Amino acid sequence: MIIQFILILFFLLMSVYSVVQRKLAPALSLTVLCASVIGIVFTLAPQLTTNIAVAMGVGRGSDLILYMFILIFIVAILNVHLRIRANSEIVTALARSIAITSARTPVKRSSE
Amino acid sequence: MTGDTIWFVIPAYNEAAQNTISTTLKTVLARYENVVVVDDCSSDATGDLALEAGAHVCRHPVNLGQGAALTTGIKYALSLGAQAIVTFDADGQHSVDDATAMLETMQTRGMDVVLGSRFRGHTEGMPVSKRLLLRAATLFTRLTTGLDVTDTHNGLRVLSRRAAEVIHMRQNRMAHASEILHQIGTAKLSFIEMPNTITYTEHSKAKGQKISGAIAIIIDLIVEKIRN
Repeated sequence: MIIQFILILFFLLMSVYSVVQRKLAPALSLTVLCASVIGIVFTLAPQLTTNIAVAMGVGRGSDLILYMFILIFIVAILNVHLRIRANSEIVTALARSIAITSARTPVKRSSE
Repeated sequence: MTGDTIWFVIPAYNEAAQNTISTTLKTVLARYENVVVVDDCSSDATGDLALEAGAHVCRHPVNLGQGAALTTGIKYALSLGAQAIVTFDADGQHSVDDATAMLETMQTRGMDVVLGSRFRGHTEGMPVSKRLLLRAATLFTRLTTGLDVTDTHNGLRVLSRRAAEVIHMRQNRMAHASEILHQIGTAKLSFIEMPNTITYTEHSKAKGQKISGAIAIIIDLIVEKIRN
């Protein structure tokens, strides 16, 4: 029962955090909120995951949770990866502009 | 196109050892007056040596990769009125004679782009593993771009101003070589390949691309496809 307490506490914290951050990323905030609520429901009624799993053709509830976790994880990683690349494009543009504005011209030639 | 509108763009990263960058610049500046070296945040004196040798120097405040350095140099050259741009490696593997022949070909045949090819020319000291890797890269590029080229990752190229303005490299690292070809294809720029002589020194071999680099290039290109 201690694990249920820990999990529910975690999901509640996530819910509060997502509500606080809703202005920053509304879609993500809503997703996290929904996931947290589903998490709390599954924590309180673990049998529910098994019922859904059996209905979907998966053996056990915990397996279903694992598969879902893998899918969400991959999407999240891809998302982060794309963000990093977008960020690196910004850094590139910035670095390029610094490089060009601070270009050094050869003394010998500019005095010719 | 007169001599003073020809610009050499040389990306360089840590090329100060054995005066590599100085030697390369000496041979180029003996014949052409406009050279911009893009110092990709070297930790050695590459930038200072290049300036001393008589080149313009743009220094990236952070290391971005060869593709990014080329783009920076091209942008700089265009801003100073370049009508023709020669991309040239810093390590001395290219020959200025080849660049001159390529510039002449661009002018006389009215081409947008002239590409150097190791496999049409005479190559000195290329290791077998490198040859196989480059052949594989070429096959990959031929299949994905549909261009009939024999050498896809050659740093020696001549671009007309028009071509330089059209080509936008977004790949910062080494995937830019395939990207340039892809854009030549989509922008329908006219191009021709010319044989060129490459001299592989111990220094250039040590700095060259390896199998791991090829895999990184393919990942870069796949991610770019997903994004578009």
